[in-house]
Amino acid sequence: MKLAELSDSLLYQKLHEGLPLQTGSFVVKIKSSIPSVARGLALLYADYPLCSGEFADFHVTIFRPLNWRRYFKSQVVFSFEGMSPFSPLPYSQAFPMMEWGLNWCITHHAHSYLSIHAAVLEKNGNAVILAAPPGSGKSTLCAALMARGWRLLSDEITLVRLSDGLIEPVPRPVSLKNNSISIIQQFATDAIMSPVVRDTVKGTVAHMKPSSESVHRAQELARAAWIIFPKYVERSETILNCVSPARAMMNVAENSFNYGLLGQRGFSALGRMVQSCQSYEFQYSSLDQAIKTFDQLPSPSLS
Amino acid sequence: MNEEYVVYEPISGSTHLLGEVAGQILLFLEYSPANVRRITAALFTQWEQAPSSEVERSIENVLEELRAMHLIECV
Repeated sequence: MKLAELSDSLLYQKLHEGLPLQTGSFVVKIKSSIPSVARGLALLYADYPLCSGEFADFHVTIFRPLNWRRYFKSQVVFSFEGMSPFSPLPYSQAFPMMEWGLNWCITHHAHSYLSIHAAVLEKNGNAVILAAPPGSGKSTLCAALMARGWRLLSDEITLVRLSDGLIEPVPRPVSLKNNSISIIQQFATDAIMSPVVRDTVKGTVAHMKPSSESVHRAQELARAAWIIFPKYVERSETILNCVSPARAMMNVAENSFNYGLLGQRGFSALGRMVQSCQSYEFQYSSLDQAIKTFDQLPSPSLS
Repeated sequence: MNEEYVVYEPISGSTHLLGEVAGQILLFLEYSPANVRRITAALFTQWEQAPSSEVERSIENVLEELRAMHLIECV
């Protein structure tokens, strides 16, 4: 059963009991009575399957605390297994907070993977990893690629299985910030976006619905073929330059959530992956040009 | 990996990006311990370079950097 098949009243009821959502290989049970959370889920998670069993990898609750502060300024709390890993946020930020909290659940608990702070997409069986610090245009590029037919595996977390180096998809809404929101709205006019939320720690944010194909194929693993370090530079030409495997490895390690924690296993997994990929620095300003470049990346068998 | 090397140091859990000379020294030491004279001699042979005190000093500096990173041990 998909979330879209729930009526509004049934969705609220499920959210009261705990909505068991399948996101990639993770089951997350979400409890909330906050309308913006329910609306966000209905809009952006419509294609996601619901699970029937009791088991969930993560039990989370997004709620409005009943303390005196609510009389002055309403807040929202993200709770994981009964504890609150973050400070409360303004109530209007409930949906983004859920998204950030779900990312936290994965990056802090999924250690049978090397988890990298990177977007990852796939086309023709080859995955491209977009690794870059915040503000580099990674999510904008990711959203644009998805809008032009690349399958989204993740916008935020690339999960590389330690056992075989395959990438496990966790497709979830693409987080867009500030100017990226209008850029993507103009670039992909049919994109489904959450309402804009202003004044968050990341600025103005909105989330873009993953393509249906990305959600339907969420159990299909992929092998990395390219590692790209993107950088948006206003009015720049599209420039793609090779990066040595050693430099690529150091850059990806710096962008990893749990590389240090994994020790030798992380080093080996990352080394294998980097050696099997072509790595590039990529500078761009035009999304159309960027997508053309990505569609022409040399096939790993030819490189 | 090309002309640069990435090495993992398991005691501290640190990963280091090394240049070509440092990488070649580690590869040489992987098989057996060696003194500075043997290391420099091996590198001169590998590079087909006549011994020179200036290059020797540069190699010694690299050895000191490797020691500081706990990638080699001086006894």
